[in-house]
Amino acid sequence: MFPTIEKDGKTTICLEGEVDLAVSPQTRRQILDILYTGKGLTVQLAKVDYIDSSGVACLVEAYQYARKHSISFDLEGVNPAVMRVLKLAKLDAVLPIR
Amino acid sequence: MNPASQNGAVEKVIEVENLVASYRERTILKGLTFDVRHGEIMVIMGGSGSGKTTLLRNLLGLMEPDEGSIRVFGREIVGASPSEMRELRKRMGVSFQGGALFGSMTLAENVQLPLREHTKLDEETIRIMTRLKLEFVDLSGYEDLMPSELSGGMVKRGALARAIVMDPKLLFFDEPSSGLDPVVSAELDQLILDLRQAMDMSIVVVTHDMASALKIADRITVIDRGNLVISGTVDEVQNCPDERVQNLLHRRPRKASVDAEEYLRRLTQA
Amino acid sequence: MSEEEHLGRISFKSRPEELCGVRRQLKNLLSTKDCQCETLECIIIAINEACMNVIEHAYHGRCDGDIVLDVFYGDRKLVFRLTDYADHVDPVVLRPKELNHLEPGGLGVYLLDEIMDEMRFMPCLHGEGNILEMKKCLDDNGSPMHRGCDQGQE
Repeated sequence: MFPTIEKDGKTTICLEGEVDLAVSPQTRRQILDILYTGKGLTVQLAKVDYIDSSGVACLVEAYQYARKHSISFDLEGVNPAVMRVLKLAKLDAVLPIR
Repeated sequence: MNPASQNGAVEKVIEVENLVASYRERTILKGLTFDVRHGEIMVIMGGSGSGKTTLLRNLLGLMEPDEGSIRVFGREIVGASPSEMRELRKRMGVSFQGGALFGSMTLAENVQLPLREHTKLDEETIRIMTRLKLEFVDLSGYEDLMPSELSGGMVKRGALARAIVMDPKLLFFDEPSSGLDPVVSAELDQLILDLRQAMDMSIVVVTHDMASALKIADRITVIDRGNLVISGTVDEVQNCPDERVQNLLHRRPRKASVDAEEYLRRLTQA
Repeated sequence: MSEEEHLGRISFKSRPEELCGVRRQLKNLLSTKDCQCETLECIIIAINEACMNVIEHAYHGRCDGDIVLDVFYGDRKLVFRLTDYADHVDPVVLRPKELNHLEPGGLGVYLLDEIMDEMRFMPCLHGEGNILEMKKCLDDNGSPMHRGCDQGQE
């Protein structure tokens, strides 16, 4: 489980380390569970050293869910390691990066 | 040049009618009808995602279509029994994309594989047949090398030798030029032309390379997103006003921009 | 004829937890070939995606399958051969789609195709197993000649 911070009715989840196939299923569940409560979510990625397509897929799914249910959702602290993958997947202009 | 056009009655080696095929829930081929005539080189063209590889798999009986009929040498292959398919495949050769030579075997062993699988010929005959085919593709002397010791073009030619080792009457060639530089690719085109000439074969080439298609084809079938755009002579295709054909002819680049909304929807749809 | 140097072999089981170690070992292997940092990172992304594909599509999530990654270098090209011993995989699974044709789950193959210069899939005729061969061309400075890897810098 990644640490979360609650502030002003909004949750921030701080992903860290390597978000790959080994952890993305739990990460997905944790992110979606927060969104299911209807609260806005910020995904803090500053401490992510590596993200693969399964991790990126979590973000895409979460964003789509949030949009559908009018919940605020954004990504924060996108570092070069994460940006590299988002750009390759042409998602840098699609996902809401702060 | 094309033996098929020399006599009036045209013998058809492949007849495809209303072919519909899907992969999981997605329909890839949406009702294709065309034929391949005896002695001709038919090039099947389409961009990435057009369905040309799925079509090839259906023609080879590697995939069961949802609807339609495929007759090869006059025999219906949709619903054919495995033993019927085995018989039919003895008259068909296939050279897959990337060559697909087996890394653990020498070039000669790779080329001999179909003979060992389908025939009970003696060793000496097998050796001579192998050498003849390697000679034909200009690889004699390389029998004992492993695929990893060969260049990309040599691997393709080796795969071609394997595809023709049983003297098939119908040869399928998947993306002959992919991964090759233009010179090697042109050599391979010439080899395909020589082959038809020398062995009275009907050849189906699947490619996205228009330059190669225009050089070797008697007729071209263009498919786009599973639909048949045109099936006709090289002239007919070159003069076809359809934008999809013109895009292929002029190698217009694929769309660089992605529609964000549509992209997200596609990535997340159930 | 190509003279390839075998840089090394990484053998592992088809468990997602292994991927982290594979990435680390691969990084060590490639660091001997001073390719640019950006290229190195992209290659690691691609190989990781290829390994994920094997775990998900070849072994269908089974954790006890063997996977072998061989790395070769020659003619300014890095060659990666990923071998598994699972049932034959339909190469259609590995056929990259344009982004405009992408389906859910297709992102990994798209990344793989975007980064690598060449990919070929070699199902074995006899017995089990699949081989995916991937090539990445490097120029004299160890930077990518073609595509994919020049986009990551902020």
